[in-house]
Amino acid sequence: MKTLLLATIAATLSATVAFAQDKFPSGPVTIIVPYGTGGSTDLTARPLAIELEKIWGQPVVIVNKPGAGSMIGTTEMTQAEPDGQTLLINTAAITTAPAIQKDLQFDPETDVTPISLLITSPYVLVGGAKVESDDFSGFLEEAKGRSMFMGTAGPGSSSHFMSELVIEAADLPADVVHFSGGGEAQTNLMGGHADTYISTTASVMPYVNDGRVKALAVLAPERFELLPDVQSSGEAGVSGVDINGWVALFGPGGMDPALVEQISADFAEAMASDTMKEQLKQNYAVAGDLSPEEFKEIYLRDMKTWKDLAAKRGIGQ
Amino acid sequence: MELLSNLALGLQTAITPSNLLYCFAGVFLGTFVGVIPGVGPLAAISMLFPITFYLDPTAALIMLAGIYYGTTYGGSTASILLNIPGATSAAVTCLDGYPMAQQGRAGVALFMTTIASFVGGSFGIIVLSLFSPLIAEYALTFGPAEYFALMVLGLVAASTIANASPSKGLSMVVFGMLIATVGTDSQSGIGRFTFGSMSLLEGFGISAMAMGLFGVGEILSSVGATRNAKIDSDSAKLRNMLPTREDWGRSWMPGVRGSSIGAFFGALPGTGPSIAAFMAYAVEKRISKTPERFGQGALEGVVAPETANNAADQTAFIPTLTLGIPGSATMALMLGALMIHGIQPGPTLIVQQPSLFWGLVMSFWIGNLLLLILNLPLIGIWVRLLLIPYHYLYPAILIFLCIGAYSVRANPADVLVILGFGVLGYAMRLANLPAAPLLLGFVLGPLVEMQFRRAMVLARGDLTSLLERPIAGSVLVLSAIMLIWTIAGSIIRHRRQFSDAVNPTEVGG
Amino acid sequence: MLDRDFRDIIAGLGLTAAGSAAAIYAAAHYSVGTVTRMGPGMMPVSLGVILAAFGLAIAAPAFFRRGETVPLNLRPLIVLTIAILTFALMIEPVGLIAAVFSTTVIATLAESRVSLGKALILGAAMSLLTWTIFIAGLGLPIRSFGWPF
Repeated sequence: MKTLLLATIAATLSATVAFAQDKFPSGPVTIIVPYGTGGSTDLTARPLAIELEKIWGQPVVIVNKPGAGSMIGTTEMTQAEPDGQTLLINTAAITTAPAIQKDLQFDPETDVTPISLLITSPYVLVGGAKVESDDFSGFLEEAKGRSMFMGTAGPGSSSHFMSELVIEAADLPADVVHFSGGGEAQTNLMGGHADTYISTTASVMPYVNDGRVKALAVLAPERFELLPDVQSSGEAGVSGVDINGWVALFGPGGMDPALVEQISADFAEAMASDTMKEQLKQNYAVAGDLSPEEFKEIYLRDMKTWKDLAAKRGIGQ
Repeated sequence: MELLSNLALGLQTAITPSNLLYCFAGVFLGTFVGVIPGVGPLAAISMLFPITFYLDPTAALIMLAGIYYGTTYGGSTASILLNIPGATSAAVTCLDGYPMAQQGRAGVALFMTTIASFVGGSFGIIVLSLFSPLIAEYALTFGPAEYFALMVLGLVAASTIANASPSKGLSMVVFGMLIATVGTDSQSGIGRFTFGSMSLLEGFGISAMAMGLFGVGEILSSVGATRNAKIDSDSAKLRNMLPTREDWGRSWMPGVRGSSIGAFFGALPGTGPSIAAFMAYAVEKRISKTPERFGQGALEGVVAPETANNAADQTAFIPTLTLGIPGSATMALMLGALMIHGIQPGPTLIVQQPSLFWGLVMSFWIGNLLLLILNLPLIGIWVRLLLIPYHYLYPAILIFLCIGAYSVRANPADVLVILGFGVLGYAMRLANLPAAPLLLGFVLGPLVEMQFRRAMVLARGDLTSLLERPIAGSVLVLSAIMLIWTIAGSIIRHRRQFSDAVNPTEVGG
Repeated sequence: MLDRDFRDIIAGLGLTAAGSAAAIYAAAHYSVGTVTRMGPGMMPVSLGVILAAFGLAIAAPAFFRRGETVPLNLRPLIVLTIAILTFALMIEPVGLIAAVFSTTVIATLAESRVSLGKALILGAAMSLLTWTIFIAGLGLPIRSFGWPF
């Protein structure tokens, strides 16, 4: 009797699972954006949602849950069912925040399923009004003579971690100074109050194109195809700073691999739409073309890099 | 003459029927959102933001901006009538607006705030259209040291806005600064006083705090108390709404000063309408020959902050549009509305998108004019609102406060925040501790700390370098002089009060 | 008339307690640093100490002057606290309509001036009004109705 009951339950469960897989999405899909309305991540998520509605034939709802360096929205996502109906679009902040926040209510390795790398670009080091050199080799020289102030978007932000990484890798005598967001950091560059800022192409290129700040380096072994005139850190002989910035899709931990594949494929289709291509072009970024497994490796590797760096340089102590 | 042709181009853009309609929709909604306590411009604009995907960028911005400055027009209504600010920047208006209403001069107060809003708004627009690039350039020279000096000046200048004893007023400024330390420390990333709570990492929202302290606090102390007979319907008559010649005379200079102060603080990223309103009020009270009238229904105390916050609303667009630097969360939304259409604000925006920039500027004029026309007849209706028995009104206000708090981040914990601050506000009323300085400390405190710590990093720990910078140095010296003046003044007043026998003064706000 | 100004005594001592608690907690948990290299603890500790001092400055003179009783109104405080808590707890599980209705009805109980019938009508009217404004009008992402079970 008992075995029969168990067998029935098992059968029902597997049927439900199979049903869920066939029928994704089974209703409106919620995409949590852990930043405010109108921010750059939100502006990526909203047009994507419109494309996905076409693909899925189901409403795709964007819910903004800002706060705690994206961890409020991320936490909420981890508490949802792993059925693909609740997803998260986040930046590399999802890998930096665990390195400094001690009170996380989830395990970033098991409670998060990395699904798809949507957008990626290298980090760019930009210089402000007081920086005289025009490329990275010159900057390294200049920075050895005059100790630089490296502006960040806030303690624990990726701009902070990248700055620490550059200080470490190039052995610079620089000081880090924290601003509230990339906009304020770059204003202080323009006014000559701080010297450098590191962020993704999307957040620095508008000011670079205005001539207000200058792009000194892309932090990568080789030049970036969309910014062929900017020297790479590798060319200047600095290695170990080639981490890329990205915007990516995540789900709750324990998602079925087949479902992850399907969602990843649907997002790739949405990313290939004209609207998204146009946005990529504007932001000097490229669409990610990694499998979920490959992306998971990057996610885990980056998280470890930041954790080690935080311990080494006393970040968040 | 380039300006004239630009303005003509702007006018052409702004008066197309569809843009006029979006402008009207924006300012109408803004007034409405402003009047309702609890729901601020940030919440309203966030809610409507998704619509802008489907609009042309000029129309989108015209509408969102209309909501933004429209809110400031409406924000003072509840301050005056109910002692509950409809928007955070109208908190100061409670101090003298509500006493005016209690004296049966609600109509006059509302009339003058509408005029003041229009004057301040117009001043801001003039500054915006004439000096945008210049001001943006100048704002860049303000680094952490300059901001620090300015915030210190603000603290010193405004620490005596309430009519309480100096120790009570100052203690509340310090208390506000202390409350503001809750949350992630801007310079180390460490959570302070968060006790492991993730919601607290963000700190307390300014609007949740203001709504709790002023809104819920006011309801808690009014409900169950014996109420004075409410204003009779006579005060809603046109005759009693119109300011007297004396009123106009009193308001003229405060309006000019308020506009200038507002335009200045609006253009600086990171400060804004609330700080501007506080400063304008503080300045009026300081230079007034009769500072004791403030808090008792002084018209200057209503006009100055209302011109200031409206002027600041307009000049806040300067750094947003010409540098691409949003000075506040609301401005970040405006920026977002442009970015989704692939328009990058910056120094080249005026040249590359002249019809957008000038169209927006002209729509501000039209919007302010619409608000003037819209708001004057509404005064009669708002004043009649007071005829509704309070026992029907307060549950409704409470609901709006709850929804307003919840809607900003869709977080029920924020509703608990307004409850907590409401209870605090009630306790402070019982203890005769003024709430306005607490709000001021809360706004300025984090800026003082953050900018000082940045400035120290940039000066490599050299304190004297602050004084060597021309702007920062002179502002700090000015603050020191003002501080000495305040202390000396309060000692003299204290002596006078003692000789006048015991004379308990009522505390406003 | 009381023989001491207990209002200011309590207020002052309350501020002193709050200030001291904050300063002690911050000093124990966050690094203070130096004036030119401030740690996260510097501001909370110094503000706490200053607040405590102001508290004493408010309380001390009050021991030497007469004061008046302060009318404390407990019923509105308790009832409205319950009303706001109700809203916070109900808004996500059951949605806007039920949360607004319950909160409004509970809030009317803070005074004895509204009859139950009128309270129910007011609750219904507020539900309708807020639904119209926030869900139909502004498109606020809150559920109108919810069923938590």
